[in-house]
Amino acid sequence: MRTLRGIELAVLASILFMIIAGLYNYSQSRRLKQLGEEARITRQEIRDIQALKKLWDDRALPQKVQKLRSLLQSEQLESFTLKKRKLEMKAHNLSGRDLNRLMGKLGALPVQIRSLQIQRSGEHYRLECLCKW
Amino acid sequence: MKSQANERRIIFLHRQMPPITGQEPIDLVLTPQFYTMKRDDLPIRFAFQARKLAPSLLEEAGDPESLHFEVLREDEGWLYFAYRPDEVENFLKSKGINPQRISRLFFAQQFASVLQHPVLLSGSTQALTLVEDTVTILPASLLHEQPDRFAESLPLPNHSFSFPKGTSTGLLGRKESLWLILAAILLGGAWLIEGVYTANKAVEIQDNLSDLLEEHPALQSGLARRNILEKYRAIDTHQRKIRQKIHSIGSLVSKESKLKTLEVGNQGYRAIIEAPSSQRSTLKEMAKNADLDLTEHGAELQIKGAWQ
Repeated sequence: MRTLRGIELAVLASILFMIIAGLYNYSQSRRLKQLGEEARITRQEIRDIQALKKLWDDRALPQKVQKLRSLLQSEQLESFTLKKRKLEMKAHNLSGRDLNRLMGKLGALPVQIRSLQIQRSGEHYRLECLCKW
Repeated sequence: MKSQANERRIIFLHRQMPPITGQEPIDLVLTPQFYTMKRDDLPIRFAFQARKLAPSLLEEAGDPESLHFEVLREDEGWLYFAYRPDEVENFLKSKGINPQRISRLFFAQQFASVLQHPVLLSGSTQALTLVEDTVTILPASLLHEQPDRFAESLPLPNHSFSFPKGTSTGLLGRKESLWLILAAILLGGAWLIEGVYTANKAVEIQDNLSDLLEEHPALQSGLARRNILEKYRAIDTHQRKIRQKIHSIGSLVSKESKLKTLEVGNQGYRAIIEAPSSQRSTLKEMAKNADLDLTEHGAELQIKGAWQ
């Protein structure tokens, strides 16, 4: 078998160098792509968590919930119990307008509505609501 | 001398040789038409020393840059050979022989000891003969003794040389090889630089990510992040759905159509609306558009659905 000469060895070595450099470049590009994707997803997850937590885990919510009470007259409010991140509210003798106002406010508050019952008797409504956050 | 039995094909290179086909390796014998030879009795011990002297001894052979020199010990002195590899290569190519097929190289002079009688060169009218200890090519017709066998029948000498093949690298020529080396180095270098740059960029991204996660220690684990997200997304989706349904039901209520009951629980929702018959078809259409499941029970319209 013919032995390799200097120039042939040089050609082989340079091609080998090119292949190794190409593989290195390819592996680094892949790593960069993966890391970029991972970083993008992580950032997005953190942003989403912060936004959702801000909405559904609002520390100032007890104060905001208190504003529901101010929408009603004291005689309309049967009970308004606020404890341990829970609100239990019963109200009666509500006009259609009161009910609309109350539901509008409740809907805008970032509380989790666990149960809601509205009953009409005559021209008035009775409302029972259990919320938590 | 070695026997030619079971050896490679032997080709005596001479100007009148016919074209030769085949791809198998060959042993090539250069005849005096392709080399210049000189004898010298200088007291030189080693071949490398003799080889150093060869260019000056064979000055008349031509430009030393284009020549290849070989030396061979002979009795008390040395034989000095000079030949042009490119000339041999070109001639071989013109006869259909790829120079890469050359396995071993010999000079016709090496056959001096076995050339008691002239031998014919294949495909020609010339013969290889010995004139004053020097192997020479002469027309066979001029010889006193007519050759009765071919040069290929001679036993091969023990000592062989390598053909330099300095002007080509098999598939590629020297020039092409150099260009290929240059291109490979340039491309490899560019890829290497790009790879290093990419690696640095990756480290930068990794550092930024680490800084971000350090700011939110509770969210460092991907699993924890996904669990938290899942929890809040479930709440968000469900609560938005509740509000959407309440809003849709609310939009069906008017002065004529009044809400009788509305119940929203963990499983689903139910509402009853009292509406005059004139309003019902409109309400049904509105309910359909709002994706509410509405059924009619006398004067009452019942809407119910479950959270999926």
